[in-house]
Amino acid sequence: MPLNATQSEYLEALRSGTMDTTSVLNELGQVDLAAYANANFRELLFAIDATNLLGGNEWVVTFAQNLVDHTGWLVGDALDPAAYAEIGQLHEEYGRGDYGIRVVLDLTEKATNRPNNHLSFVRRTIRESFRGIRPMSEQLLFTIKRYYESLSDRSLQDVQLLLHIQEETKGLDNAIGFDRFFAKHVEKAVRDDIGYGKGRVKALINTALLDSDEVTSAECLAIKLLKDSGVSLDADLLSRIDTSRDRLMGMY
Amino acid sequence: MGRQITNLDNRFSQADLWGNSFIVDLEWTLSDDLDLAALCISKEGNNNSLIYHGSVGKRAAPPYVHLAHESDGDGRMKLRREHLVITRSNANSAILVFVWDHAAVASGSWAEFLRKQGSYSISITDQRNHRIQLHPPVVAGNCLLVAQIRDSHVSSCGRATTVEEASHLSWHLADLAGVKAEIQPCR
Repeated sequence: MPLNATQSEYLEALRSGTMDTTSVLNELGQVDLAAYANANFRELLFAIDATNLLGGNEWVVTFAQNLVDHTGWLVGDALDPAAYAEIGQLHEEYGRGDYGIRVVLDLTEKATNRPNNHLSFVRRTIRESFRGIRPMSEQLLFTIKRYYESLSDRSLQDVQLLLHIQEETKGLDNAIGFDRFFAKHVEKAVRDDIGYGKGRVKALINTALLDSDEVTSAECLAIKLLKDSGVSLDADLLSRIDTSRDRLMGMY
Repeated sequence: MGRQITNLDNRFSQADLWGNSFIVDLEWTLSDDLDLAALCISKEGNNNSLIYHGSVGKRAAPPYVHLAHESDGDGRMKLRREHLVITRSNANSAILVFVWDHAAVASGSWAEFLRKQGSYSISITDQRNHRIQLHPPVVAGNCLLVAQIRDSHVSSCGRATTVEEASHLSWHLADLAGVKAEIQPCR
């Protein structure tokens, strides 16, 4: 059910800053839990999320929990396939915000009986959130960390996702802590030699770092951690630390 | 160049954008090689730069433009896409967004896409995921200025800018001083 005229005006007022976000979210936080079973209410939440005004607010946790618990998407430990279709459609319609990612991760944790392609959906949801203009906010970093720390079986696709995020947030005002998070996971992925085929992850990271048109502090730190852990690295890669010495100063 | 920009102002309608980074999405159905480009006007006025497939800039040193060709997945390219990422637009006094037909510009001929209604669409998305669909007119030429992004004021919640949508402007690329000489062969 699409947003009605009042809701659309409401959304536009939030987006343009003529309506106070906190009071709107406070009001939405008081609605009856039965509202979460209503597709129109869910659409309103995702539409507000797409404005990036919801992610940094404390209400995001409550809205996500309520959505997961009261939509009917979870039947026991199984996830209704309709959830994928609806979330995908709302993201396509309005864009992606932190809340949508959080909902997907909450569903991942609660639904232990998931289709095989579930993690592909999660990765796609995260991946498409980063298109070059969205920095890694503190809240989003927390959420992304949660995804990586919850993985019992990391794959090459998760490393590729991390490289994508790093690439698409270059030059933006990323949260403090992202560099270290990126570097530590890259180093650990190589050290553990994850993925099918020996050395594949190292080759992937080596190529990504060498292809980088400009070295970021996150990449420098990753190279340094790899070097420190005794991983043999391409000479060109090592020289990047030397040429970026100024940027590295004060990092450690 | 400055005079031309001033002259353009009367021909635009305006819409608000939020933030200082934007994505311009271009989709087209013709087999022609269309390109997105951005002319970044520096605040000092003496360091303008053209960002396009031959000179994409750097992410960490704005302006930066990322051009990505995407197919529709079946390899037949029914729909072609290119997007341009503008970061930290507030480093410039204005950014002019263009779309041109590479071959038509190189040969000095008129481009088909500008004369064929519905053959392409172009939109700008801001940091609040607000997508503004631009509606370029059907005109004759081979290069179209589709939007002008210019800082208007700074607000406490971020940097507000305006996008001014071109209504009926088109001219041969040669009229853009110095630009044609920079065109390089397509990738």
